[in-house]
Amino acid sequence: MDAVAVIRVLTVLVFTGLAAVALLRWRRTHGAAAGWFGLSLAVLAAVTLSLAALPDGARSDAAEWLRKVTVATLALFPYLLYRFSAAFAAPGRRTEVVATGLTGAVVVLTLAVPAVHLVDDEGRPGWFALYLAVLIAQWLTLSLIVAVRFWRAGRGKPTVARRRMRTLSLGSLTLTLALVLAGGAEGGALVGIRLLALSGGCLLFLGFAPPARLRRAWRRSEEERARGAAATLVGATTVEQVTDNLLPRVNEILGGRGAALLDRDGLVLGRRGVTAEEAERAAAELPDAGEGGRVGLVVEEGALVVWTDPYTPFFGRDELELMRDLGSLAFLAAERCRLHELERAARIGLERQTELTGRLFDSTSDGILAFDRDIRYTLWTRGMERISGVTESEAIGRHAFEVFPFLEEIGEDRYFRDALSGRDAISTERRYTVPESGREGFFESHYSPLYGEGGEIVGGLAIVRDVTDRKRAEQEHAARAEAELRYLREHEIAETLQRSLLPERLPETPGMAVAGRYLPGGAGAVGGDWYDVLSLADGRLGLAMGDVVGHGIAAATAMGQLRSALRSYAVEGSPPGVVLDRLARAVRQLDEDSMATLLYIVFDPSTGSFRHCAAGHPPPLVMPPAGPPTYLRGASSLPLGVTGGRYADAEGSLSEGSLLVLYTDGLVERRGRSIGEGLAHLKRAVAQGPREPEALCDHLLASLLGDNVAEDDVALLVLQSVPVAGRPLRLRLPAEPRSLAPLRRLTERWLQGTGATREDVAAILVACGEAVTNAIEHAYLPARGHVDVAGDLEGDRVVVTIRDAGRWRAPRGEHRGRGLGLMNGLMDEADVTHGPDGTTVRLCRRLRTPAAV
Amino acid sequence: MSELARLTVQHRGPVVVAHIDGEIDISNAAEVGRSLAEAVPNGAAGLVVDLSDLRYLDSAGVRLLFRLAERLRTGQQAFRLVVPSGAPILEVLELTGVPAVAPCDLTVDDAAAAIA
Repeated sequence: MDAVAVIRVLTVLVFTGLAAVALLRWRRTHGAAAGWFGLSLAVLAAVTLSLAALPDGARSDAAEWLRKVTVATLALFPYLLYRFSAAFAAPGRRTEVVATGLTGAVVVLTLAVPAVHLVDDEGRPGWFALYLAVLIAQWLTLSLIVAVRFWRAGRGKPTVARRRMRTLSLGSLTLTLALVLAGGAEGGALVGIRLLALSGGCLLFLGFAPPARLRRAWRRSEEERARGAAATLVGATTVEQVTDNLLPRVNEILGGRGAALLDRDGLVLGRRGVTAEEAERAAAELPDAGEGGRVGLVVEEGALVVWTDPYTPFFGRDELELMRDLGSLAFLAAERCRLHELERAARIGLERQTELTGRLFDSTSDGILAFDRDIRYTLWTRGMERISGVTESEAIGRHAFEVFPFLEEIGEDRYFRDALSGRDAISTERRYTVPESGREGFFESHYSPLYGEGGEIVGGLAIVRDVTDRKRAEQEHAARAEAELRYLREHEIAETLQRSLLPERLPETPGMAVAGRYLPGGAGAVGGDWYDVLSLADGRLGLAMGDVVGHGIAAATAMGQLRSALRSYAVEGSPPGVVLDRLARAVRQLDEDSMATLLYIVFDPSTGSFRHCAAGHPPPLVMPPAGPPTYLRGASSLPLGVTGGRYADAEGSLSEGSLLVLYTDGLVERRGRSIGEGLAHLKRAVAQGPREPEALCDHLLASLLGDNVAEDDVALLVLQSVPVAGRPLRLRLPAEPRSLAPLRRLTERWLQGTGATREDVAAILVACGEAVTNAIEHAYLPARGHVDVAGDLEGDRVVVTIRDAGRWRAPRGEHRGRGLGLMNGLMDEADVTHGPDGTTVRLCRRLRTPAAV
Repeated sequence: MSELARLTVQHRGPVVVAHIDGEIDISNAAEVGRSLAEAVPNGAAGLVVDLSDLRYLDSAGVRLLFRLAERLRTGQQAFRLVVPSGAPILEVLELTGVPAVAPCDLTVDDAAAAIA
């Protein structure tokens, strides 16, 4: 058996085998491409078998037809390959027409020619050369088309696909070359040509179904890329990073135009090269993916979908494995990212919380500490560092009472143990001293137990507050309060003293209305302002208005001394100048530094005349019933206590209804206002004020001081000469012996207006005196009270009624009987009525001569 | 001493002459009475109280005059008053019967002469 025969047999066996394998695959996969390829290999096998069976020189009809069929079949081979290539690249319409037309023409021609001279012998007719040219042209054309299409189909594809396409392309070219060369070859050359054809077929099969090892070798770069992708996936921290890294590589590795990663619920995790709609449609169509140039790989966690071009070489198991690996890796990475993100979110939350807690710990001035069951510190915040001066590193892990021995000394350890026993405990205002840091002060702590997960006590927590400032503030406050209290007490004493020295009530003087006011200074200063109204023995009235320089108890005391001195000098009825002169001497004896201003007036209610003298005091103001008010000047000298004062008094008089205003400088002196302005203001206020002492006092205080609290203290006294004559007499007198003289003055003035004679006046005065004396002596002892005297003129009769609120006593002895006898003797009628409310004496006397008025 | 009444004492030989200017009521009667009593030494023949300038006198003053009269009678000393006619206190004196214990003269000279 020569080499040609061996090769022939080998060729038949190889092609038959390859065709069988391809067709089996076609049966298994039902892929069109595999079918076409199987058919083309089967054609090759059939042709080689047929050629091997035909003797070269056989010239029978059967042999001739077999030859014709063999050649026609051989013409089908490039066409079948062409159809196979259509699975990888869409054929153009013109190419389709050319390929189909040429193949059809060759088949028809082959069957039409009388004989096919495969071997170039002499009997080959001239037309046969033409036929042969057509045949070769068809072969060359289709084979070239196929080769080019394969080559192109591999361009830009993953290595495996590309190499397979190139191999197919080379195989196709090799076979064509072998066929073309076979035309004129003989002997040894023929063997070479057959070997060439054999290798061409093998290349085709190799391209169609490369062995796994070869594929792995080809796929090495893809695997490296896949490993790179896997590496980036490991480093990915977000799902976006996973899809961004994975999908482009999936496209590269699998030669897809686009890819998407879906989770198991069909949610698109990421996509690349496809629109959102496409990705969502793919998600909706899973698990039917795989059609329309789309390969979907569904794994447990979701799906990896790759959009292939419809002519992409089909995926092999290896691609699917690669894809599965990448998909699994992607999902693992995505899951890890999800967990990572969750963890990161949790960590951020925790960090934020820790930061917040830390900030809380640090922002509060409170310290927070925790300790374990052995009372070793496990937490020591910055607040604790601030309070104690002991740093966290110095405290953590150490025993509390070792760090701070004073805790045991002050008994604070009890609270630690309370917390460890499950009880809350509070210690308040504990003194601490930390010798190491030199800190000391007061703290308060709130202790609570710390529980473990199982509910067991694992330690304790304490919130410690430094109350040193508060404590000091309290102490300072207490000291201040004490000082204030002392001051207030002193102030109160001074004011009480002063008020007690001011007349509790002014004497009710017949024919006079008097009102007085005293206001302490604004800053609570009690000054030395004072006034006094004295009933002098002869029925005259002493009016004093003074100001002792200084404040507080000393001034009030000095004022008291001055007042006492004035009372003792004035009661004798001495003129004001004399009184002031004596007072000046007394003041100089009291205290060299004392100084006081004083205005003193002696007023006679029966005539309205008065004498006045001032020692450095603002002038009194007189307001007549008609006409402007005027200040009384001209009887003023230096203040008491100043050497060289000459006190001479001046005279004046008040007509009935006139007002006399006495005051201290506090009323007219104001910061930012001259005393001249103050005096002018007072003058206006008096001119516009009411004509009644009490109301005028209020008016003057309101208009001169307003709502402002007076800086200095203010004393004010307003006196009015009350009209007596021409109207009924109404008097209220203190039930005191010294009321008798004023009573006589007023009654006398009143009687003068009634036309009474001197005898009438004398009789009525004595009768009234007796009645009032009786009330004074018996009605009120020992309590003080008052007596009301009413005088009325009824025609030519004077009726005087004396009313007291006391109990009448029966006259005892000769003397008292004398009083009643006088009343009866001097008056026409004298009736004494005793009632539950007191005694009323009604005296009546007909005037001896008719009233002139 | 109060300003209500002013007492001036003169000695005319054995006779003490006291001049009262002002008013006498319960507020100063006791004081005036004490002053008058003190003004009369044991050796004096008598007392003349000049009421010419006394403007007011009531039962309190009358009592003082009665007490004074009693005391002087005990000491066997004479007691006379000077009250001019038309004096405002005359009616009171008459109503109370003072002239019975203290005879009234119109002038100091008359009174002093009556004692001496």
